Amino acid sequence: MAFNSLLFIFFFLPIFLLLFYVVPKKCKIYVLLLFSIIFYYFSGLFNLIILLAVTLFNYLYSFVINKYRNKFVLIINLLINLVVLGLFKYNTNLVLPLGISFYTFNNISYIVDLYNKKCSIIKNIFYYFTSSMLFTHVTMGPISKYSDLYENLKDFDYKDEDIYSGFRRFLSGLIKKVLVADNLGLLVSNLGAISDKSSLVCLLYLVSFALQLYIDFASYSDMAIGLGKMIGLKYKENFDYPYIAKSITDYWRRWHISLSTFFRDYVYIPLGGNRVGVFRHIINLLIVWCLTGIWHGRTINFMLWGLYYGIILIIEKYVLKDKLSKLPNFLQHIYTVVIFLFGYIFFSISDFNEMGHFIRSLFTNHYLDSNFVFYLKENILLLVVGIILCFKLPDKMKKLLDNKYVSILSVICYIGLFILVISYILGGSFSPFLYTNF
Amino acid sequence: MRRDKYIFIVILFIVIIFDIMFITSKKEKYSDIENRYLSEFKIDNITEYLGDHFPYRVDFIKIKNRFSYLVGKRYINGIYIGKDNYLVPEVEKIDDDKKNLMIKRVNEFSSNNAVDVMIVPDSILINKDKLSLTIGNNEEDEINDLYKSFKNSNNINVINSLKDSNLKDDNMYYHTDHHWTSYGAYVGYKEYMKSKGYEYQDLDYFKLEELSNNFKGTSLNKVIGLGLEDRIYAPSIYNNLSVYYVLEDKITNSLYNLDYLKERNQYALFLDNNHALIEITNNDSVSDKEILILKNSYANSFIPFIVNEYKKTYVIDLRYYNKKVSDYLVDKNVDDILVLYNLNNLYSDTSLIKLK
Repeated sequence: MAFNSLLFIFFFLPIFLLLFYVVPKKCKIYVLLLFSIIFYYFSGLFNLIILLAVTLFNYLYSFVINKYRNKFVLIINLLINLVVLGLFKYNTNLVLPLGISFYTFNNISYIVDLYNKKCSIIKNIFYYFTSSMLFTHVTMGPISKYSDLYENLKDFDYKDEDIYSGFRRFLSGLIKKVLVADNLGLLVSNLGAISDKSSLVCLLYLVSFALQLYIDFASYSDMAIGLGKMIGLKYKENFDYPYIAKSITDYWRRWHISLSTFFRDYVYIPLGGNRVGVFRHIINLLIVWCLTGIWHGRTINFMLWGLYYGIILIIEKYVLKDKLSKLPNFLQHIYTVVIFLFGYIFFSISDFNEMGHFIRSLFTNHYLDSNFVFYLKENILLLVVGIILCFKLPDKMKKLLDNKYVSILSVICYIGLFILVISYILGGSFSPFLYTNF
Repeated sequence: MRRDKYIFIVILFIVIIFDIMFITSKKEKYSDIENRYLSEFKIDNITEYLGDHFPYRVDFIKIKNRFSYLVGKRYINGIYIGKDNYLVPEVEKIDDDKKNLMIKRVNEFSSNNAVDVMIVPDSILINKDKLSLTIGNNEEDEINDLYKSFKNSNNINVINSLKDSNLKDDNMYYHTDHHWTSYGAYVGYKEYMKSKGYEYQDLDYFKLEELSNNFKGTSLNKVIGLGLEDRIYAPSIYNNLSVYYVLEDKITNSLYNLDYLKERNQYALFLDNNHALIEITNNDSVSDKEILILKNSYANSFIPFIVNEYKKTYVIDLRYYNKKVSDYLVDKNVDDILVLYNLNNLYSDTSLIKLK
């Protein structure tokens, strides 16, 4: 079940909230677990069984780890988790269970933390299963630490304001997803289907793809974080306006933060991080980025994409050093934008012939063609809105909301946009989230 | 913040109202706009079920289309929205293998029979001036290329006369449908007669009569909420006809089945929608000649003109007719054979491949 489906918005969410809010505090966990199972059931019974199996395995294993705390025992667990993940992820004959990349990482994070005594064991099976299967994050993250969640689940600490502001956060994510990201998705697939692309078409494709990917994923995170807030779960932010970064190092501090944190804590630092010689450090970076690439998809182009970032980060660290930060601000921004736009070529095109063709077209087909003019004109407003969403709202704008009339106007806008969302969902622009494939 | 509270309460209210409406409403079985059965309740397709039976579904979709138009979209769901409320469908592509096979079949067939071919351009070409921008529209080149490949047939070009007439009267195509109007079909008739060296009748001769003033065509179905309704006109001069639907073994005396006026797809009134084989006899015809027309639905509004000229008009729709045409011809006295398709459907249904 997707957050942007009628089933979720009109039935699942209101019924869940009603039950969740009326039952006594100690029963809330069961409501949450039940609804998480129902939520996931709608992605297929087989998928649900895999999720239950992975969760049960790690739950039982946590007692073993807690007792022995032996490196060998840990490695066995990691191997089993990663083999199961790899089996589904890279075997094209199998259907990828929804969210497996996310919940496997959640479970690994718990086991490793337990091994390192960074958290205590969750003995209660209901709490463990709820942490692993929570519908708010099971499909697309944020990748979370169970120890933090466990604290939240014990006291479900939310105030009325949290319900309202969490809901507004959910709603704004929904609006961005349905009205902006999905329409950008249509544009991307239309542009991608053009056989002879001009440079301008290639550029428009990359810009649209960049906007779609960010807005799609960030809007999902908005929904997850907002829903979490409504029931007292405190998720960390997953995005911090990545496209306004001033370097690629900066960009990766702002993009899919929970994933970067995971790789930092469980791969990069255990490998020795930067407290090693230069050569070893470079190797560490390449390993981390190779894995990041592989995590994103089952085709080889994703590894290329990961390595591309690995190499650029090494260059920033060892060649450019602080030269970049001495440049005028706007040049730093342009540098970053060019790097990530170019990177999306590796991300979005899995066929290498097609990729080569695309790069050639980008650099050689300098002419103004009707496709470019047509799609730009058709989507100009969408693109402008998309670009605006990449920027932080100035605080001045937020202050405007203190004005009573502006505030009323904003309520009306949200309701109008909600009705538009319903009409777009009904109008068949329904499309599953991009990131669920990872 | 108070603002967030109001947003929450109002939206919760909307959600509950729609839930009550959804649960209590009577569920339709069929959607004639989409021409399909709506899904039935099953736990596995609950998402489709909700979408198909959502209260005020059609009105919501209208909101979506109007909003898209408002924010500057002129290409929605495969329809270009042009000036003067013209809704113009995009054109399909065909893969070269299918196209070459089609050409081969036409050439083989026309080497054994004298064949006339008329490929009618679509609204997208003739109403080009109403559209600000289109993509992938090169129908004129396509038709000319096809005509070059059809080596054994007499190929009748109707592009220029349709363009000229449209500039004058602006009524060659429906505003809301992919078909040409009876006025467009008349131009086709005229060009056919000229090309054969026959004498043609003036438009007035056919006494076009209005059969509908609320026709909502296939293009409108794709962008409901936009565009106006069309009128359907048709010749009204025949009193001595017999129209025989062979496979159905049904005879009528009219080219029009007005029962379709009650349905969504009113264009289907011409020749009772599409049939594999129809034999039309006109006892008041100008000549005693016989014609075979191999066609798609574009010919349905063309035939009411041509039956004036021929005593017998045989109509074969290759989408539904699965026997050899040459076998059918054996015991007939056919004088002329006309292949009549519009380009877009020629490419999308590819039924001409079955011509033997």
